[in-house]
Amino acid sequence: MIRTAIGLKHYVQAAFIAIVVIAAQGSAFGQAKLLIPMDIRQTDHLKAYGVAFWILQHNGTVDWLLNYRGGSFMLDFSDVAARECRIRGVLFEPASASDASSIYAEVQREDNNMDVVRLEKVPKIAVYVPPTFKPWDDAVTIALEYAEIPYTKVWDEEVLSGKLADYDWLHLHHEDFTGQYGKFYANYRYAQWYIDQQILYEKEAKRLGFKKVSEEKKAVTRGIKEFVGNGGFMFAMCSATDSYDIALAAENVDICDVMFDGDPPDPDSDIDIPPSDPPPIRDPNTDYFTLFEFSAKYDPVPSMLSQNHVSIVKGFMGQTTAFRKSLIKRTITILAQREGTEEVRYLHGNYGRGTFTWYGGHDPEDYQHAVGDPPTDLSLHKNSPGYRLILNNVLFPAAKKKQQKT
Amino acid sequence: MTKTQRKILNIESVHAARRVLCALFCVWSFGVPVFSQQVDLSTKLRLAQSFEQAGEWEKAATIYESLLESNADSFIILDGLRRSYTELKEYDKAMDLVRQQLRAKPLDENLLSWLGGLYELAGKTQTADSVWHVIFSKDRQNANLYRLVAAQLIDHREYERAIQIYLEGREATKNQLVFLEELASLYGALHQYELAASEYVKLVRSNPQQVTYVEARLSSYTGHEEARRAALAVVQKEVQQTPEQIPVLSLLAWLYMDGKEFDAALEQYRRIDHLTKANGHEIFQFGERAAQERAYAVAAKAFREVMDKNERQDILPLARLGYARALEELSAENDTLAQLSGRTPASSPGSTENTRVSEFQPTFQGAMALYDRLTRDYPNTDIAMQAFFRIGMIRFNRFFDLDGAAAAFDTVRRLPYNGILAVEATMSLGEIQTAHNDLIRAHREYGQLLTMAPEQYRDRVLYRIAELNYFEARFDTAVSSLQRISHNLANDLANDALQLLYFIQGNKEAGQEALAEFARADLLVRQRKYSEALALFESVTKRFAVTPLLDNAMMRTGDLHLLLNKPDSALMVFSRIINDLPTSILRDRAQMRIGEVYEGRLKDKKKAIEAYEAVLAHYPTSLFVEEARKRIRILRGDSI
Repeated sequence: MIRTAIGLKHYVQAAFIAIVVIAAQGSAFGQAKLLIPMDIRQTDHLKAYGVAFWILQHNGTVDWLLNYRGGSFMLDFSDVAARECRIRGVLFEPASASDASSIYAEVQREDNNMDVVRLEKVPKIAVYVPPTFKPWDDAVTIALEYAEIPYTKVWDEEVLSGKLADYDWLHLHHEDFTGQYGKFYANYRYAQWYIDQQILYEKEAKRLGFKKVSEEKKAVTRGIKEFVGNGGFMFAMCSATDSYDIALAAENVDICDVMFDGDPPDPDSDIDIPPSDPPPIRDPNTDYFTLFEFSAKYDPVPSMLSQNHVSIVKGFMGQTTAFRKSLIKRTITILAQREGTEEVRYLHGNYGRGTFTWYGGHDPEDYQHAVGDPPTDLSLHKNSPGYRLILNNVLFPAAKKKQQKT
Repeated sequence: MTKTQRKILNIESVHAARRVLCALFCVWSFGVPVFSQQVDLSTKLRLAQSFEQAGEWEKAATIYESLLESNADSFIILDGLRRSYTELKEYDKAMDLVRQQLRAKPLDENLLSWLGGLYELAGKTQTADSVWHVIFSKDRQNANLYRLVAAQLIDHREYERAIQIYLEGREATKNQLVFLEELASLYGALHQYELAASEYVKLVRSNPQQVTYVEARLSSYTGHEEARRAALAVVQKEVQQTPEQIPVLSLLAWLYMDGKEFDAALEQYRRIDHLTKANGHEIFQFGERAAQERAYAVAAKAFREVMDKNERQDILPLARLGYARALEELSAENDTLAQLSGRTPASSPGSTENTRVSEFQPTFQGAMALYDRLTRDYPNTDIAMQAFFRIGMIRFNRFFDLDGAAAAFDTVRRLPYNGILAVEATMSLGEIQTAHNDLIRAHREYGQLLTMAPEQYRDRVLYRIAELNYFEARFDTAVSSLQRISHNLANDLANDALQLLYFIQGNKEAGQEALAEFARADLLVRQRKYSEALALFESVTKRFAVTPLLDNAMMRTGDLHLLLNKPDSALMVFSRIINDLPTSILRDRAQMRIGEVYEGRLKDKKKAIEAYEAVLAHYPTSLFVEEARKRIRILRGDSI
């Protein structure tokens, strides 16, 4: 993260350039606008992302006003857009041309930590899920379904055959890339879904020419890594985050026990052995994490990813809940952390030409989601700050790349 | 005994004592190291086992190796060391150990199966196969040897090869009925449903007692339609070949029921009934299950067949009652369809004497005729009581035949067989008296229930009494009853009570006269005197135009126009609420109603969408916005 101090002269220059740029775009002035505020007044934050996406799908553009009223969206006013907002229950405010230009001016002022990011490309979204997946199994698909953002499902064959290149954004369903089936063996080995899942994965691995699921998943993680390296955006939650890392780290080691792949793990394998220190005792009433604030003008990417109407977000658990700060590489941007602890909940990094964002926990509105629990109904959590963080990631690839100011 | 003898004995006892002491010394001097060795062995063994349990295989292996030096033939140590080597993936060492053991017992099937398993783990499947065949060569007829090998393969998740072993075993033992459960289970796990079903069919054929077990096993995957279809095809084929196998027929019927193919299931139960000479009992049981699944048409067919057979007097009355009930439900479905398509549902009970009864053209009259015959054929029985109750319900709810319904309910409560039905009948009698405008008798009916009905009826009765007080313009009494009910938030009636409570409290300032007039009009609605109610509400809107009751009265007027099938008049009234009463809190409701009229009555999709959009645009905080959004999206064909 680069934080650059700029003198007054630079502020003035930057403000002038910004005004010229907006004026040249033409859309900021002379055209009535529709502002979708994303502060606490918004009636449905999650559907608002869907409206922004819908505008992009209909060849429109959306200006994402970073840090302006919770990261609001501004678009050209039209009756169709206004009607769509109403139908989806999204609060909007019509803004006259002069109102809009005042807002843009405020956002562009150098002494305000705000900026405009233009969204103009419809990101092609893929979600890595097994064929047996149910849309309510996974927070990201729940969010995409609720916000009505279309996505394509891909699985191992698509990854291994290089089809990821057709997509901009890839979400990893809470997969276990180590081939240990989420280590659910202990509690669910006799459950039909567990048995079916293991058989399905084994058949698929054999069909694709692998002797073991763990070997196949390693190949898949390499494929995903290549996708990111080539400029893809990867978003992962829960066990998909560290199991992806573990699978890559265990490239030449068999870490799977006999119940997972039919033979014992390599004797020197200690990559996936949980730490001996007991996990911290958590209390849902005190488990909150804090979003860091970034310079919207100089760090637009982390700013986009952490847009929210609150800065403190309710925590939630998953098979992977948090990442230990002391073990995170310095090149990684920490987006959110539980105050006073080593627990990083949300992080972002670059690899090759692409990026990855990891978000700990399973479901932002279900503190401890267990197998068989009912799915979260997002119509009851329309303003969920935790879910907003997921949807920030979906819009992030739609942003037009701007030349860096520093 | 002489002195000399005693002396000799003493000497002998001294010698004996010396011998014992000597022996003890010898045991002590030689035995202590032996004993300490054994203690050491036992401690080390326990330590090795602890390391095993902790997954510290290297440490376990080291201890086992040291123990093996002094106990080369100990099975426990050899076995522990084999396990440790296996976990450490030192398969060659593990194999050497097993070979060492095999020298002593060259054809031990357990040792050989371990050796084969180790070859499997080492990826030497061909060598493993040759080991398996050595095992089988011991006794090709021994099914347990095949189980032993298959278990090794299953442990290594080699399910297909385990299946092959079982199939080889079946050939070798020349017994097609061996390994049925094992193979069915493996095929099922691999989603080879047809093959799994074939094995289960063989199991049922060979052991008919297993049919329930097989159904339970099949039910683990028949939730997938593809799996059920596969199983169905197999069982159907089997039934064609052996049409008189009752357990297989039961399995077929169960598969049809599982897929809600009730007609096909009935066909199988007919065959089962015929083959078992059940004289209709199987068909009757099917009818009951179908009725529970709300498949009333086929349930009616089944009950009708039982009635036509007329052989089982023990189930005949129940079959007749079931048939009448199924017909009643089918008539209700028809009525709903008639209402949805704009046709007028049945409105007159007519005579039940010569009513034609058929499940193909179900009518309430037909159902009533059947109930009527039941009351005559089984007088003073539980069957008659149930039949009278259903007659009362149809007459009251479907035909609004108050006298007929009252007579039926009155009979119900005079019969002693079913206390709950008697309470329900009295509740209905209270409603009938209200509809008759005999509110004093209605009070009496409910008052009677307050003292005699079970506790769970108390709030229902209290609410009815509060309504009566409201109709009679005794608003304070009504309010106090409604408050009592609304305190019990667990009760479903709490919402209704709150609604009426707030309506009375919110409109008290309109004045006693206005509210009493309004309540009287509401009573007329309850009595289904819609035209009179409409006139009275219209009069309220004129006489009390400056009171807060105005918008409520107008809403009622609009709704009554709809009940009287005048949608255009209703639209006018609802529009007036929106345009003329800018401060009314019912404007969003009126706007919503306009959308509903266009959508449901006038079938004008475009105008319906416009009306619902107006709800969103003008009343964004209304309770109706969610529903309006949903309606718009349904009308424009969104996938929601």
